[in-house]
Amino acid sequence: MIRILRADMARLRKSTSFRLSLLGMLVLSILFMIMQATGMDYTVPLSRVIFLPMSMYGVAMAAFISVFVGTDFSDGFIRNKLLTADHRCNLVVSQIIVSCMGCLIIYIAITVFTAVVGRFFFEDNVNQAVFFRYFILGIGMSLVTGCIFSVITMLCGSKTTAILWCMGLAFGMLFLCLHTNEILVQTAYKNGAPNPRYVSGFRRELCGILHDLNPCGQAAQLSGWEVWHPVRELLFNCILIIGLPAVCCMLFRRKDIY
Amino acid sequence: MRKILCANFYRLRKDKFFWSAFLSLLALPVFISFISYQSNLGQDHDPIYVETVLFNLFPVIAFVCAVLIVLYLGTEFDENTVRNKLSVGHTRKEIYYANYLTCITFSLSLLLICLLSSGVAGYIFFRDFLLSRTRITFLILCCILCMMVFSAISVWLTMNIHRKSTALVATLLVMFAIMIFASYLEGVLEEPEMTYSSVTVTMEEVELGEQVPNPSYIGGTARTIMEFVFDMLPSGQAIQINNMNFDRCLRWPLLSVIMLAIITAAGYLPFRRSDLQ
Repeated sequence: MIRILRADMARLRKSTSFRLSLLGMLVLSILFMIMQATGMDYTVPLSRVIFLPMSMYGVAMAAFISVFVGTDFSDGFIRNKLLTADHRCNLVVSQIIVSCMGCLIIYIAITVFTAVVGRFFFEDNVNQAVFFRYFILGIGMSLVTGCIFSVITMLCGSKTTAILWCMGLAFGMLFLCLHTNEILVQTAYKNGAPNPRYVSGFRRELCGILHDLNPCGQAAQLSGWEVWHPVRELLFNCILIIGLPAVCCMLFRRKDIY
Repeated sequence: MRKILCANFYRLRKDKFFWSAFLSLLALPVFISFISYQSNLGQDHDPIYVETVLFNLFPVIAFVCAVLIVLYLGTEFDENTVRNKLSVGHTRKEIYYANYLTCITFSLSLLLICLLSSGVAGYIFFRDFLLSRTRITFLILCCILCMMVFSAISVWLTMNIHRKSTALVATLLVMFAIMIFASYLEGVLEEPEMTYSSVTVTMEEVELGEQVPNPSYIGGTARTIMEFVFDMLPSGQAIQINNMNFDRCLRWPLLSVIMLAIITAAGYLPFRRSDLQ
């Protein structure tokens, strides 16, 4: 497994999809900063901008991982790896680790870039302790994103199918996040009267769980500088990071690689 | 070119993705109309008209057609069929335009089946029309031209990228980017010219301050340019059709034809000289 990991990390360093995803996210970060700096008639605080590029993180990572991991299947290289690997699970785990590393590198690069550049153009209202906590939560989010899309790609077995599923899921998660966020931000009272759009009870709890389970929902909370249930998010991230590779190992063991 | 067209349509008849999309777009509008009818039953909401249901799936069809075009044309590059076509004597022009016409035909067939299904389901559940027949016919023409532009963009990307997977990612990202850009322009253009200096909410009433110019409102030349770009983009037209906003619809067909000519030329010219590996 160490040899496969080393080979995949070397491939990641030279991967065009990784570089393009990183470049795309950097461009997005610059665009968002320009829009926030010029579009508002008040001084925008830095906290509004630091995690703003993460709103498109899911789509970018879906494109990167499906192409990067899918190339092994389209080139037939996966069969060579299976010959080298002691066990199919080693291959799955190494692939997931490399994908997560790629996602993590992009997340750290974009967040640090936005934080450093943003300090010159926005009002620095960021509390260091709060930023550190949110940064750690963002690491969890990026690892979960890497796990989800690499598992899907490994189980699809075909690059094109993997791209369709990963990008479709990324758009789906984004729209779900918008929907649940729209529900959760409604207040109980509006203009002094009960708000008809306010949802309470079990439905509110369910929306909250979906919002915290969804990596795009986590990104939305980070970009809004308000994480409602950080412990619950951490718990969900741990469950997904452990559970998804386990499920993938079970299913990949019986998969026909052609 | 006739032989390539015949071969393309024969392939299309057997394409499972096309038929899956065809059946989905036949059933989905009926399902959506039913859900809208059920949720509106007994509620004091705004009335729903047939046109609301008729055009509400239009942006979705654009995405579906973009994906289908990439899957359909990308297979030709992955399996080296394009080189075979060149070997037997067909010119690049014939290959490009045959593929172009095939893709536009199947996009329009999916659009028309969806409009037919939405129209029938909308009439069964809602009965009331908001617009005149002439206006609806004109808007359907706008949808057709807009769909042709979306298809031309997908054909342009797929025929010049030469790899199915890369073309798929590029097409989805481009479609997403133009949708997001059009949504941004819509948000900016919808800002009102005047706003209230203050809003005071009490238990009895809501007190509004005096009206002042809205600092977020963009006027003058900048607004004209933004409106032009918003109408020129096929995603802009799709959003306006979906939102039933027909203020500037009279110029949409002309702008769509201009975009179609530009994109067709932009697609064919690089393909003429590209290296088909």
